[in-house]
Amino acid sequence: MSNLYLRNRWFEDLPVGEFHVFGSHTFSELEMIEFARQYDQAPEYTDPEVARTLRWGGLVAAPWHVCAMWMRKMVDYMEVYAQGVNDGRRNGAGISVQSMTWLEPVRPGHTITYTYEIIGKSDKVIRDKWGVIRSRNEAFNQNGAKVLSFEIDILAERGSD
Amino acid sequence: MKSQQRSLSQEEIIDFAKAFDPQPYHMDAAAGDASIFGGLCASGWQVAAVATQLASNTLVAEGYNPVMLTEVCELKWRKPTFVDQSISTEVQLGCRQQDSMVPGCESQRVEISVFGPGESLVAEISAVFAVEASR
Repeated sequence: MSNLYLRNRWFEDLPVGEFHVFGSHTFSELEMIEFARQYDQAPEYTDPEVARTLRWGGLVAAPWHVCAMWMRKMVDYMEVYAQGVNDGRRNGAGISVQSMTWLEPVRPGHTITYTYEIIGKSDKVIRDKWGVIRSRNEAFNQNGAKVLSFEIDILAERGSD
Repeated sequence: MKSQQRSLSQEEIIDFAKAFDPQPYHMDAAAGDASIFGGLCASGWQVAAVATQLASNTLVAEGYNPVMLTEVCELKWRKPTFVDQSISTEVQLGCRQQDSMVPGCESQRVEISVFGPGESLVAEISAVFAVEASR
């Protein structure tokens, strides 16, 4: 990766209302089962045959799987978006989540698109270095139905004057 | 209600991070040491997933029938979870509501305290499970 930084985008520079589409992911049956075997072993998530007889009428993704993929999409997106930029959000730790709701099941072959919008900036300063940015994050399937929604507070580095 | 314990090996932490949270402090010991966390630590999402599963297992053992996690009203990460540290949870039942996004289910609010070694609080999760409707 290049060390040429063209711009600084610290906590102070990031405006409320900034909106990004992190990208899309198509969930395969195999990866859904692999995730669920380790983190949520209910048959709805791990066994296509049994799942067919259960409430969703087929295999669905474990809730945390849909959410974990949001994280992956954000990290990948920021790697590209922040090329040549000192972006204060890079590798900033998440500290809390609010109002996370799973609204629709995600099935094998569904393509989920993840969006992010800055909705607030706190006055808090953490360890002399970090500000806190609140974002609203949403995920939609290929039919435009919202499948996941949540807000998250993530640290962003402040500029050193 | 106390749950069982689980820990995450270095391999499990790095595997999860490569798939879902490829940031240096979740994949590389030296980067972890230099980070705000002070060591290679598990993705917060991995900790949340493990804690929720432990809590769900506790609900099953206590005779509730959790069907799926439908909401996380609030989740706070308090401390990092390092390699091979035990994770356990304590679950307190909150209010019950008649409806759920899952057909035929009710909503059960739960407060999950997530503990690391020495009963140190590593996360707090306020969540809602869809549970089989009581007859």
